[in-house]
Amino acid sequence: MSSADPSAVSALGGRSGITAVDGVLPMELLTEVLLLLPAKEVCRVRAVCPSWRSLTYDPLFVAAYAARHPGPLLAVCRGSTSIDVLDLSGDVVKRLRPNIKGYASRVLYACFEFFLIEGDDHGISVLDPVSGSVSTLPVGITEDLASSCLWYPSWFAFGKVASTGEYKLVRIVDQDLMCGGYGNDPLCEVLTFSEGFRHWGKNDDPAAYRDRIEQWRKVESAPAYLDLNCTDGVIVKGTAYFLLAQCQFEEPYIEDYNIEPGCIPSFNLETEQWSVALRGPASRIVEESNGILNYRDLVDRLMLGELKDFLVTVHCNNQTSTADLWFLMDFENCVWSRQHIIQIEIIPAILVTPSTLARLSNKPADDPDLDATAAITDGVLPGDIRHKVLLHLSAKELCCLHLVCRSRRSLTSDPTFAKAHSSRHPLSPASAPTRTRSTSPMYPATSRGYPYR
Amino acid sequence: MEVDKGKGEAEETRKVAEADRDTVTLKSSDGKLFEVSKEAAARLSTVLAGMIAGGSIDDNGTDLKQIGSEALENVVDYCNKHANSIPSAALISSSISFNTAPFKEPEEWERKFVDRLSHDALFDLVEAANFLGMERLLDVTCHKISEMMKGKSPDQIREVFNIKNDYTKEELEEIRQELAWAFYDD
Repeated sequence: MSSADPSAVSALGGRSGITAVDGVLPMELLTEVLLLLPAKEVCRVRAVCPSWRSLTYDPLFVAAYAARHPGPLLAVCRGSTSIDVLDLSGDVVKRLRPNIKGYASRVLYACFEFFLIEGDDHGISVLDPVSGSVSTLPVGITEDLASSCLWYPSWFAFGKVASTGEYKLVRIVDQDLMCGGYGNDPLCEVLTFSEGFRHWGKNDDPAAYRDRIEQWRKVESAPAYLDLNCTDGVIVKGTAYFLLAQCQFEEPYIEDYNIEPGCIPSFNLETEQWSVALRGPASRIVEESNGILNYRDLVDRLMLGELKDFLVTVHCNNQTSTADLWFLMDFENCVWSRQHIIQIEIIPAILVTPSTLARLSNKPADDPDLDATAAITDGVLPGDIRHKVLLHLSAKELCCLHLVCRSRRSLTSDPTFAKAHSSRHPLSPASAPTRTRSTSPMYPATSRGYPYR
Repeated sequence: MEVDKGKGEAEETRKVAEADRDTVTLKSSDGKLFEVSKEAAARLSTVLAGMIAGGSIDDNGTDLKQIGSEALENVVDYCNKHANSIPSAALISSSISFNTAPFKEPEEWERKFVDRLSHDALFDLVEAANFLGMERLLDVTCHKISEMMKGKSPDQIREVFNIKNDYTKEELEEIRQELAWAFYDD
């Protein structure tokens, strides 16, 4: 009855007669629909027909897609030759095969303009995710030391110095372990990047930018051994924070170093000085557990993170199957406050920052002016390549996070949280699902001093 | 003169009566009439809100020549259900607290509302929502259509969206190579 009069079909209707390549939807509505798809699906529909393909490569589409999908992405070393960019559902949205000398072993830092990659020869490369081109950073003391050593632990931090606008890459290496020495503090060296380094390798003449990169400089040594699992430094407001080797929570391991148990060493990027003034929340955690937890229970259960400009200690609590987020509220008085308790179904056996994975944030470093939008409009890259990559680089909807942590739906809807959460509960085989409590044999309770020797 | 005055008065009376009514009447392209709550129409459709504010609502049925009766019925249905099922305040506050969240997942009832539609009805509805400036309905229908694409092969998508494959074999192979990861299902 409603279709009694076929001639009354609306102006936009009558699709039964349409067999054109455009299909059933007008372009503007098709755009709306495609904007809702995860990045992997967008790539797939490019094979549907040329008009869909050109639509999804269109700069306007790309810009809109990036705006709609602000969720974080992860850059992961996969195998030894490719670096995958993943969204939070674990889908690959871009695969890079950089020509790095040796193998890529670890992504140290990732943003839309560049990735910092550590090779298996310990050299550090700057990878342009758009073109896949690679530039190598100067060789530092670490590489020299490492030439006779197959494996050594190293820690990194990369962040901005607020006062000068420069970026600094900090590298700490345990020279005792490398050279078989004893009693040497971990060696620390710094490389400064001046303005313009973001364009490094993207210009016709990379040498012009190479000149702006200084050499590595040796700076004050780290005050104590750092935690081997929690690999890298966390930058909050221009200072890099590291976890101590956690066997040092309790006396007497740290006697030699004249620092307090549970201390969180920090390196000021501007002054290049270490501080051991900050006490971590370990004693609070033990206190508040009412006798259920002791210090040994915290070994391998703590990680550092940055959330909304706060330093956060994540405590993976086996007793309650939760990740407790302790925020540093007052630096001077070392006041920590447990702001979030997140129920997690699978407690990882060992908390590690997987050494091959870095978070790809929409905001490169901590510069609010250089967000994803800026990357689209600043004209650094040739247009067509830029659009292509930015589309790949855009993340899946944040709602994916609801799958990660259903019980904290509202919390996980907060993009800042999402960012931190994804970097702590990454999709990694290292976080194998098991509820066995980890008492790592690498931390013999009776050994004195550094246990790895 | 007399007549003109009478006419003017009648017009005035009619306008007052119209302003008092709490529904508006909409007329589809095939001449069917639908009543919809004025409050809901104004809140959910920018176009209807403009027409109501501008007094261009016709008491005998505002002509919407671009929208067929089936789609208009769905639009009206959506407006009425929306008015009943969700306090608008809750909707607004939840979208403000995370205003960076780009898309709010459909509510259960919204999901059901679009799930029962045939493909053709859905495509008609998305166009109607677009024409009437109904942002939320547009989101919900677009979301539904995007769901229809997820996990589908290019062939399946061509079928649903009535698209002719005018790639050459070589072109297709090239795309599959370039975006290989997108085609391997886990």
